[in-house]
Amino acid sequence: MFANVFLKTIYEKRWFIFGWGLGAIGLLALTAAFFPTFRDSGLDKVMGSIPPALKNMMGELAEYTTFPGYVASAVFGLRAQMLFVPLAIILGISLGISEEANGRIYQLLAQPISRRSVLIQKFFAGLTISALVVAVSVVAVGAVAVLVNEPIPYELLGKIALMTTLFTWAVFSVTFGLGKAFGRKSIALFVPLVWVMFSVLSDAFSAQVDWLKNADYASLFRYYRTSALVHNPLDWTHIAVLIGIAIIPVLCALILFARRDLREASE
Amino acid sequence: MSKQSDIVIDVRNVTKKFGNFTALDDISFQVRRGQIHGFLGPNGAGKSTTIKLLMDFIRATKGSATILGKDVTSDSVDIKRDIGYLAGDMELYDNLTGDQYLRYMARLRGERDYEHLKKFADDLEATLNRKLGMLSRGNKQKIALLAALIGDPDLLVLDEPTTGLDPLMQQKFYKVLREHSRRGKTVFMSSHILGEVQEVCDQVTFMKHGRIIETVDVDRLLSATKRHVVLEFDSRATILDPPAKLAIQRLRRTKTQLSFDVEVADRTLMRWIASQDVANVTISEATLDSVFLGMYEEETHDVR
Repeated sequence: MFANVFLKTIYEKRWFIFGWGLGAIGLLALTAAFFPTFRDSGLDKVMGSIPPALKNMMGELAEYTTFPGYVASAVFGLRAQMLFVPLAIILGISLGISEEANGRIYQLLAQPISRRSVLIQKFFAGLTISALVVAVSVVAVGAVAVLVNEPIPYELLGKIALMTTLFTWAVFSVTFGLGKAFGRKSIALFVPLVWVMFSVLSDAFSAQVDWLKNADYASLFRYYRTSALVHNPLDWTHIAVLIGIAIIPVLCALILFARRDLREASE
Repeated sequence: MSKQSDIVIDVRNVTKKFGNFTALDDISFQVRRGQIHGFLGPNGAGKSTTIKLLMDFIRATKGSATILGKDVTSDSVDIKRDIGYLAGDMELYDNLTGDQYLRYMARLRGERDYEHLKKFADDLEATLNRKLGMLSRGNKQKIALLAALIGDPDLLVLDEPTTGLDPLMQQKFYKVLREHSRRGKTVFMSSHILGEVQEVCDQVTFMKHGRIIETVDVDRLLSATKRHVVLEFDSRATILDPPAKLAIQRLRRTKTQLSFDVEVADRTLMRWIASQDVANVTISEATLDSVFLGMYEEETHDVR
């Protein structure tokens, strides 16, 4: 039935994929479906009077007047973060540390399979699962575009899908890597949460607060700006940074997880 | 002397510390091929720590351990092809059925299936078609035992394996271990149940406070200590120690009771007992229980 840890993990997470996929369709596709109402209500004009900090949090307001801009800013620029950050952290905790915390890892590591192999297979399972949920949500938004008769370029949807996937992978990888490296749920949960909170604040206030301008380079959202994708090509620096964030924690975990004691084993 | 190739487990001067706490203190022991080797000690003695170290779940602070001549850390994956592992408190994948779980474990071991265990699964009355999360502790334990036997491993490493099994299943389990041993395979099992060790083990290593007390052959241990004597006294009676010529072992004394082991319950012993103000006398065959308790008591006195 399952030939390896990767397939077993995907099978085990089938309801997780279904649930989050449904959640993504519900939140993102419905938000996209509200575009005609939003466009006709004149809310875009009202939003011109809101404070600059809030504007930053809401993305490029000028983009709200077109469906592609609305999807890039209001749907993926705002709501996708609310969806994919928790998904990535929950998935990272689940695949990175839960099995060790509840003692199920012993049955696995009692088999002729190395710790590194377990880590790599679970990591790729996590990447696959998060990419699947992102893909489902992008396809759903594309389907809504057809339903509400608002054209959106496939190229833009492709760019959004790529950047959202990389952003989700980065958050997942930090959580997963810390969990595997240290075997402590508290570290695996605390660090990405603090990073995301800092990123939210930095994203909102860096334009107004001088000392935050340089700190903004450490913000995750600096490298995930879907609103900029409407008129610009992909930013390869952003792609490289997100891939780097996705790879480095796992490389560190590969070294540390192979050397340390399993946590639950400590008497 | 055992030949080196007969040594399946070789633990040499292993120390394991968790922070300032020393869980294993310079332990050394060997397990020979074809044996059922018991690993006995009270809770917290370090039995599970030793087993987790052998399985490479944790790493030694000092010392080395080999299984089948290979280092337990650097050759961990290779070694596990020849090991079946079972723990009494093992957590399984609750969302899989017994059949799915066993197939998965078989695949991880490089086996296509677990067909060779189907008959044994029937003997055990193992529930294969229900999710493991729905099964009782004992029924899960049967599945875990089947998983440990996949691939007919040369060595079974068992950590308090009969936890949750009813007496009938325990007997079936002991039968499996004996059968495994008869075919030249080795079993290393920790337990705190003396009767279990006495019933199935050829050799036993006693452990306490992270140290090895002694490794002995079970038969020789029991035959060398043939009789266990318990003398009960009235609360006002004066209790005298038995004379040295009786060569008693493991003397224990309470306010109203004197117990010890002797090689032979002979006339000299009977005469001495008759000369005491004894209310009741019990002379029985020594059990591992009495030997075990006596051994720990001696060790405690030594420490003091």
